[in-house]
Amino acid sequence: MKLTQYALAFFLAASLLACGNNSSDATQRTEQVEEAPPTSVLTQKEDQLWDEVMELHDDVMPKMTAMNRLSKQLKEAAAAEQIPAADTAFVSKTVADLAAADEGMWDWMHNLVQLDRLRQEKKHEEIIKYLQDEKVAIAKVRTDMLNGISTAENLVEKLELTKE
Amino acid sequence: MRNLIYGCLIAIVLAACNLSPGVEKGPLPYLGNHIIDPATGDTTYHTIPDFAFINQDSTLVTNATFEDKHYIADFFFTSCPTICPKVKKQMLRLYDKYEQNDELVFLSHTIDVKRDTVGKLKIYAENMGVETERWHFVTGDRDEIYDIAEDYMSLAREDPNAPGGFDHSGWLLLIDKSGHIRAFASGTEEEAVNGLMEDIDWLLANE
Repeated sequence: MKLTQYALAFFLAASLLACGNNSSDATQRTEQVEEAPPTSVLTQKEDQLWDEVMELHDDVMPKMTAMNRLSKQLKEAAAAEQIPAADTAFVSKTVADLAAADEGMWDWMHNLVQLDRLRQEKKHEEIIKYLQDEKVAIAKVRTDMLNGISTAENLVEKLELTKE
Repeated sequence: MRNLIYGCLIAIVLAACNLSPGVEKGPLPYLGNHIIDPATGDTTYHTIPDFAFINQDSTLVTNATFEDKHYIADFFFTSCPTICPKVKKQMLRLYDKYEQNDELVFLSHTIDVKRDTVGKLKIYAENMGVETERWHFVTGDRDEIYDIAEDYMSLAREDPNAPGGFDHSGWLLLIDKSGHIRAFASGTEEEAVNGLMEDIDWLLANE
């Protein structure tokens, strides 16, 4: 009987040890799978995303002057009563849209946190999330600007306003 | 014949290095839109129009502020994410190089007048460690700043390589004591600013 008990205890102990080993192996495998990529890979991803955000910004930022000129042109024409009555509401809306797009760009730039500071304050996942959100935001600014400029240019042409 | 070959080789090397023996920076041109009187044929050189802005110390800055001084003008904003930090670095190079010369000062106009308040410009200048007497950071009426920016950049109409807009260009302009634009350079390029330094040296030495 005692021999049976010892054998059972041994078997249980061996099984537990074996399970323990298996568990440890499994943990190691999991750790290997979930091991964080090297810092260089993480920063590379952040850099890439930052560049994508900046590419969108740099694409339309040089159009701020043109946007300002168009707005000024329409406002001056309205002030000089050069706009037909049927178009005044649309001119006002276009000027307001240009102002909103302009403000959208300034606001976006003002609130953007530089990558260096992001790295000091946030974890990698948070940085990626932040930059993804900013990419969406600047894409909207870009669209608003391009639409505003296109509409204003068509309006200037239609109304045959003198170009400066 | 051998001398001719050597002469050609030296000329090619000098041309490649952009060096010419005995050739120094010549007189600087007057840039911008000039007015030619049809009756007399006299030319009135383009001059920066009258302006009145407020600097980081809440002091009024006008054309008179730059009487008897040449100055470097640029357009910037404190939250600029890409271009301005590069331009700032080059402007600081100029500031440091001409630190001992009180005939050259700096004028930076913000184009984000809503956010770049006097207080913010003050902090910006302090963080850069520059003195108000030598470097004015100014703000003012938005339309007035945009209009004068267009005037500074008006040389674009004559020179295809000249600044086309103030919004993302980072251009630096050298203005003489009489308010004439005499040279310009891309403030993001170290080489271009090196060239501007030669222009500044010439202006300081000759006018």
